[in-house]
Amino acid sequence: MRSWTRRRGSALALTAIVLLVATLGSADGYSSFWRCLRAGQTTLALGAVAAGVALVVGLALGALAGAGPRLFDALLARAVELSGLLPSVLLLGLLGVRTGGDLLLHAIALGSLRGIALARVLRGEIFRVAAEPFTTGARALGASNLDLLTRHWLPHLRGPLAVTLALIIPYVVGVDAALAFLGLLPAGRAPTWGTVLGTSWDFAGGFALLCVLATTAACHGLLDEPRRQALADPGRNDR
Amino acid sequence: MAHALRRVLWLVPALLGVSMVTFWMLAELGVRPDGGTDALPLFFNRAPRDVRDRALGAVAEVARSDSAAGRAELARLGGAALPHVLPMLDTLAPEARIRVAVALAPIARRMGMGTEAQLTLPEQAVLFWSDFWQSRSVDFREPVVKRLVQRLGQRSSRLRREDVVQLDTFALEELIGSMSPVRTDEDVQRVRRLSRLASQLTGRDWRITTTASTEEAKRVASRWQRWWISHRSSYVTFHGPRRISAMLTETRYGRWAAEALQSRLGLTRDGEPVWDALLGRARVTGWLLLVGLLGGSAAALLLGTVGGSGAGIGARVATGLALLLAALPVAARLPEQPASGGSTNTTLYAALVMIASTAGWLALLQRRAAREALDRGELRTALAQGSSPRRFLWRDLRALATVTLSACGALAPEILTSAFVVEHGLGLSGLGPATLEAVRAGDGAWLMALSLLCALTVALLQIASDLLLELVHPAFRAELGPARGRA
Repeated sequence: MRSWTRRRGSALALTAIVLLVATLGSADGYSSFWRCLRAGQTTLALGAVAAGVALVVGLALGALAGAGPRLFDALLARAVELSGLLPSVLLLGLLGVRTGGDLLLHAIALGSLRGIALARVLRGEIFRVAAEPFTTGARALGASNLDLLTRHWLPHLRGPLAVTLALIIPYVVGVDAALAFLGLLPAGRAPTWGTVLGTSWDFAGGFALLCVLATTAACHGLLDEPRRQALADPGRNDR
Repeated sequence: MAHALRRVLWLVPALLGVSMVTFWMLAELGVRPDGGTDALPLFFNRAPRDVRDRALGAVAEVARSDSAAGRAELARLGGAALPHVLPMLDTLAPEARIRVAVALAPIARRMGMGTEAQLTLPEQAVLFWSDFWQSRSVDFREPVVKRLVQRLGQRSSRLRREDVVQLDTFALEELIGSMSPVRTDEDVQRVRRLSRLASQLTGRDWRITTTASTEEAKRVASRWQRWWISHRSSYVTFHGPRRISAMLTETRYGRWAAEALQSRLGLTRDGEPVWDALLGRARVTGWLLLVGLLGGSAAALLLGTVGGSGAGIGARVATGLALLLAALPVAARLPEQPASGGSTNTTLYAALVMIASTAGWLALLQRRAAREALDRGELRTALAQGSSPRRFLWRDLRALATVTLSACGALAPEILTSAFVVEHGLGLSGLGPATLEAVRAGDGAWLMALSLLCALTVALLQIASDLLLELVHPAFRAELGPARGRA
């Protein structure tokens, strides 16, 4: 019965997508569907690079600020201040002008900005778990800060990491949409779902929005939920 | 608290660093916040050029080829160049000496000295300047200029005016320096006298009438002082400590910093002090930022806690809503054509969009924290015995809020982005539209001021966030307190 309901839901969703694609308009000689697919390709590539950079920057800065000497905490504070010297959209807009819309640099900048925000969260989480009884126990058994970080604290940081990585696509789309909406997009840059959304509210915009929502839900389902279930029920896979 | 105080004290060097980074970034983009066009180095000038270097360069040019540019430069430098040009006149070849002496004629005319024949006939011109320097060189000293300008400032007479005019541009530094302060009517009259003379020496018509108000006098004095920042090196000799300070001040950053201190972060393209324009518009953006932060954090706490409290319909709706808020770009929540802002509906709509734009990521982080709290062994036992998960979560909300509080300290740049988009979309007159205009017009002064304001806001938010963390969780008191409790 449950399987039948699921199949019926999938069929309805497929029909809806086919109908939607059939009704999409066309512009610049390309159908809106094709434009959205091309934009999706760029968006996903941007998201993947930005996620990688955010992961490295966030984890490195957050771990050093939370578990390292105080100097690293001060350095993180300065990094946050520098990341805030202009609203991110202006910073990225100016960078785009300077680099002629280089997508790789754009993705690295996006990832760094998100990584710095993530580092603040991870630093807070490390401070919190450092006061937990299991940390005291591990310390009593002679664990160093590095041991604590790698064996005991990192598993507790996977939550914020998973949430942030799951939301990297909407973040990329949000910034691009803001750039396009404010007219700060460098000329000739490859379109993304964000630029399609920020430019106009036509069929392509609506479809791009659907794609963003679907990708976000999928990323959240893939990255966040299974991890939580595994944590909540560690013996589940053994049964 | 000690941690917060230390951070506040760090703000000054941090802002200095931020201003240097922004300045470098804008320079890389071809924007000149100092408003100048000279080819100056960015932060450090190993060999700042003063009036001596300029005068000797012009003399060499005139002596070599009697070039019009060299003559014009000597006339521009004026009396300030004489202490460097006249003593070396005898060392030049006869032909070159004559050319230089004749090239100095415009200065003598401005000073009201000598006849036309004395100034333009070759043999007489050399004699005139030799005599001039023998009899007047003692007047070209700082204490003498100071005394003469002070006397002129106190009361004007033809004789006092002539004394200063005969020093020509050598007296400019003292003339412009003596224009401030402007508080009383007497000060206004002093500015009137000094600005009249400065106009005569430089050819700039920045003067006031006898009936001018204090505000007008202030404006004119400020204009002269701003002009002096970028033209000082043409009339002043850098020696000793002055040379060392000129290595920093005779740079693009140094000139911007001097201008920023002089006229409240510089002037906009409309001539309004940037600080005043920024504060006027910062109210709208500040309000949006505050609503985004406070409302977004509160919404995130609520949605995250409800979403993380179980698998019921309420939790699913809250999670779905948080996902939707995180996925929807701010620009997609606004009308395509800018609305005419100001009405209550627009303000409410702006507030809702700001809250929605902040709440998504924070709510999902909060939900994750709530879920992990419920996965703790003792709570699982209690839950198995029939306790309500929501009761536990609300009881531990203070401790759970650490995730949201940590994140919101670093979210300011993104919330500001949302605020700019909202202002643009709803036609609100905050910092956003003015900043976009500044970006398009390359208004460096505005962008520098905005970056300082943003960095200050982010730094203060971080401090506030750490203070709140110390309040809500004992672990942060230990970590951020005076003795960090780590092995």
